[in-house]
Amino acid sequence: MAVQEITYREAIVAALTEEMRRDPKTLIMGEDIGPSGGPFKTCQGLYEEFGAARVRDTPIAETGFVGAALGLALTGYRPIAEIMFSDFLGVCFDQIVNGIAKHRFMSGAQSTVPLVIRAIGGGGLRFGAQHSQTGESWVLSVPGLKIVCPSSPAEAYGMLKSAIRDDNPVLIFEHKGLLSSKGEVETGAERLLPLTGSRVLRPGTDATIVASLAMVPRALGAADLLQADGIAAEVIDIRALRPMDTSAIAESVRKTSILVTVEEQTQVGGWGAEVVAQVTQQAFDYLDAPPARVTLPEYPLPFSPPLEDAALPTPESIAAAVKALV
Amino acid sequence: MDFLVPKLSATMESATVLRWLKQPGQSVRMGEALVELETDKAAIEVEAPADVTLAAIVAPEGTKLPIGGTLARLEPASGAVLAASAPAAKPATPSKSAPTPAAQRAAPAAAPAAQTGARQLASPLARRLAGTHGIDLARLSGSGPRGRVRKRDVLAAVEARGGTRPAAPAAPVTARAPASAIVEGFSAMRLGVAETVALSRRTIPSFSLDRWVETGAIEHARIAFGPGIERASGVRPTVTDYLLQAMADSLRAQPAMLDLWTEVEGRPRRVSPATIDIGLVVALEEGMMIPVLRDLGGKSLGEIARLRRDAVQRVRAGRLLASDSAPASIALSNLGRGGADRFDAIINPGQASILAVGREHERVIARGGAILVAKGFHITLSVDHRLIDGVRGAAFLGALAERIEFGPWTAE
Repeated sequence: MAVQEITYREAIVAALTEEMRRDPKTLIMGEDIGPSGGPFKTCQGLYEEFGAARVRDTPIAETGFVGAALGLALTGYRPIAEIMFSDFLGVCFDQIVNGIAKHRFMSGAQSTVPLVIRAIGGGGLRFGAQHSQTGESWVLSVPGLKIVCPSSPAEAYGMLKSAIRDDNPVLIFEHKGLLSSKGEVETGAERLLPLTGSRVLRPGTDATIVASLAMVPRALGAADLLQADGIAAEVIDIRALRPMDTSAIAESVRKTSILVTVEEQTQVGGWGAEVVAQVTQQAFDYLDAPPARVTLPEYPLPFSPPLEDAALPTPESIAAAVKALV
Repeated sequence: MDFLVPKLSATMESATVLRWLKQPGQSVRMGEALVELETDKAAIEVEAPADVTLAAIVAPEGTKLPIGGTLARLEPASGAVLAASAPAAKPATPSKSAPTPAAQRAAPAAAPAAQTGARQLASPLARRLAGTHGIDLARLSGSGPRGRVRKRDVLAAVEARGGTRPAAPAAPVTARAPASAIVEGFSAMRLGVAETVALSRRTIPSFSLDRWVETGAIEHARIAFGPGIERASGVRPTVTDYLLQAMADSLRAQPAMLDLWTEVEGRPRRVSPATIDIGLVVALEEGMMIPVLRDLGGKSLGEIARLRRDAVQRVRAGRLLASDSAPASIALSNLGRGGADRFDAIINPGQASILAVGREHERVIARGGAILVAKGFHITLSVDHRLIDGVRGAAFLGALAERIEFGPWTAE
């Protein structure tokens, strides 16, 4: 099929459809994903094509269906679990960190867990404190999980296909705020994207901005603002959080000497902290200022629209953080 | 200046002061042992970094300090700069004479550190650039927060000195990766080598001189004396050791070859070392190290072989001593049985020359009107033209070639 401009949501649907056609052992479970196509329409058309046996509506009980997915993975299937809001990862936390992540290790590699959890998260859409989190920090420290966060339709499509074919559990953090964003994707082809490594989206020489998910377009916006002031910022999409490969970021910092991370999470224990630590280790002698992290404030995201907007990083606040260092 | 705990082994994190070997007020020559430290590996004597007076002991015996912790305060032995503004250093009890960190912090942050004695804040990049360009950080006023020296401050100082602005370290030329290639980071050693050779090419105007030398005399000496030296010293000298001795002897005869180029307060200065110290290029999986073999003048083959073996072992084990990175004027790079007939080596920045030795091989030569076959190798000397002209370099290479070809090689 040819390259076409589609939305992030359509990219997810395309990847799911193609992989379910490719492998009859692939199936998907989640809340309201059947005839209604998912609360965010990320499973549109799957029920009609593959039927109730492979596209299963579940009760509102994440521990139950994520646990069932683990059982399916251990018995030869490739299950995909959709978590309607990333916030609900808290409900099935034990299944993920003590079951899914550990089975391969604890069985002495006699079993594999080819399982994908798609969690749709993120703020800015007036969903309040309990339905706006992204949740990467919660699971970042768990060995045995692969964690990716696509920021564009092409990444969403290519990484979801790779995740489904991977023999290890992969957690995909998708972002509600990106679902309608458009981009060019070559569907129908074997365009699998790696589940590790970052990507330089915009080259620059004066500062390195590393961002994830919905913060990527905002970081690109910040780079536009900085360009007007004569500062050429390099923008990197971190893409994959676990395993984390910071070599390209360190390479960038060796060139720019300035590092700013931007994440839609609170600061303590976020991936930005890990990036700063790793880059400091690899490129200490190239740093010309202490690395900075642009994050959410240390309180739950407010429901009030003006307060929610004030809490989220913006192109202006990101640019200000860079300017303070350059 | 502060005398700090050096990193004495790859695994060392802290050290305990075992014994002070000098008293406050005493003057110490560069290289003289000043203090004995106990590390995770062994008790190690640490030497004075220059000719200095021990002004005050900050860490009394028994104190445990991390790497970089302050052991003592030193004053330049000859430079009366610091001594003139302060009463003559008198022996004092360590605990009272040591300035407290609080007193240091009380100094105005933006004032140049040279006036206040406070530690000058500098970004890691600024610190490294200052070292590369010989800029004294203490003389700069930093434009960053709390007076921190930034890259721009160092580059401004380089420019003010009249030096050219360094080829923008911010924009290296990079290769584009083919779609199927694996792209990954370099090891710290690889990056270190890259930076060193690039700095050499950028800052040292060099040329090279080449000569093919016969190695028959060394071969005979190895057969005749090798076993005896091994019995006496425990090590059998290699061709490298013979080369080191020949270099040391030739340098003793032509000490001008030891001169170094340095800059003091922005002005070029000649440094003439008192001892013959030679760096030895040791190849490693990911790069190379150049430990310095010190004071080789007049040393026997057995002594040189022992020094060389110990240094190579330390490099391979990643346990270098402070003395391994001492200054040296010349280095030896012997590719030995490698595949190259001859090569030019890149001068290690801070040094004046380097000798590159190719593979030993037979060759048809003409001598006294006859054709004969002899064994030998190319020795190629790269020199810093700021210090060494063609005539001087050729004279040294000629003397070295004669020393190698005709000896006299002895068991000593």
